[in-house]
Amino acid sequence: MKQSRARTFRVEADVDDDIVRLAREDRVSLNQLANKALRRYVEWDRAPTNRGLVSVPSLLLVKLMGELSEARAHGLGRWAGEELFLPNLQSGYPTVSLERAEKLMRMLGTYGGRFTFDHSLEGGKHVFTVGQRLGKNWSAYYAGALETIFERFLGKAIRETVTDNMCVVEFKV
Amino acid sequence: MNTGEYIYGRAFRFSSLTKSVTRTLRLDDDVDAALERMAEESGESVNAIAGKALRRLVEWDRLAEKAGLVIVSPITLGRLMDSQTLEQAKALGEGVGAEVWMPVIMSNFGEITLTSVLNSIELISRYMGRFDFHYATEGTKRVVTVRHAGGLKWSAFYLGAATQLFKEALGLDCKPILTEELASLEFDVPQRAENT
Repeated sequence: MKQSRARTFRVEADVDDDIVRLAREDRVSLNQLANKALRRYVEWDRAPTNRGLVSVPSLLLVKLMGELSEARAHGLGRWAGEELFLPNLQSGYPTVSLERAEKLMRMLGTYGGRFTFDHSLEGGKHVFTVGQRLGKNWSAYYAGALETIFERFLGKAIRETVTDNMCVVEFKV
Repeated sequence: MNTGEYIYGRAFRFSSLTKSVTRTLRLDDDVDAALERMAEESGESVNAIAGKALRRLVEWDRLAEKAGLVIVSPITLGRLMDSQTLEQAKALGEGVGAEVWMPVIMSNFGEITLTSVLNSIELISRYMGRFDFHYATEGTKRVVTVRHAGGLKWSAFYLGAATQLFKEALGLDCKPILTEELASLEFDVPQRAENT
C-alpha cells in the first residue's frame, strides 16, 4: 500500500471549485484526482524529457503521416530513432542501455498519448509492443525507431512485425 | 490600435481577482517528495507549483483530452509538414479547425461565440506553446494574429484553422494576411456582438 501524507495548500477559489466538480463528475475522490494531476505535472509536464516536445491534435498526425508511403514512414522512424530518441537516451549517460530505452518509451507512452508500450520476456526473447491508433504508417514509424535503437546501438538482430495498430519488435536475450 | 482590451471569459480568471481557500490533500509520498524537490530546484514554493498543476488540470487537461492531443517532436512534425504544399497545409488547418477545435470549443464552452473562440485560442496558445496569440481592437475593427517560428506552411495551416473558426463558424467577413512568421485575420464586428 502506498504511503501518503497530508499537506495543506492555499488554492485559488475558482480552481478549488473546479477540482471539486471534476472529482464529482469522474466519481473519484479529490485526493485521487489531485494526486494524478500533481504526479503528471512533476513527472512529465515539467520534466527534462518533455522539454521541446509539442502537443498537436492526433488528427493532424494521422493526416500528415497518411500521405507518406509505408517505407518512407519507416525511414522517418529510423531517422527519429537516431536523431531524436538516441540523443535523449544518451543525455547524461555514457552508454545506451535497454533499461533506459524502456523507461523512456514507457514515459512517452504514459504521458505522450500517442502509443501504449509493453515489454515482456517470452521464450528467451525480448518482445516490445507499441500499440497505437493513428494508422499503419505510424506503426512503421515506431518499428523504424526501435530498429535503430536495438540493432544499431545495442547490436541486437531484431525481427519486426507491423500492423495497422501495432508494431512488435523481438530479439533474443 | 488598442491592444490592451481583452476578453474576460471562463478561461480568464486572473489570480489577483480570485480569492483563495485552504485545501488539505493526502498526497502519495513520492508525489510529495517530487513536489519538494521541484520547489527546491526551481525556487518556487510547493504551494505555487501545486497551484499551477491544479489550474492546468481544470483549464487545459480536459480540453486537451477532448481534442485528442498527443505529444510529438517538433522536428518530426516539421519534416512531415515539409512534405505538404502550401495549399495542402492550409487545407490541413481547415480540417483541424473544423473537426477538432470547433467540437472542442462547443463542448467546453457550450457555444461558438467570438468570446469562446478567442478564449479557446488563448488557452491553446498558452498550453500548447506552438504560437503566440494576439488580439487587437479599434472601434469595430478586430485583428487576430498568430505569431510563430514554423515558416510559411505553418502560417498557412494556422490561417486555415482560423478561417474555419472566424469565417465559417462565426460568419465574419475576414481579410487574411499570411507571412513566414504570422497568420492574421482582420474583420469588423459590431460592438454589441462581442459577447455573442
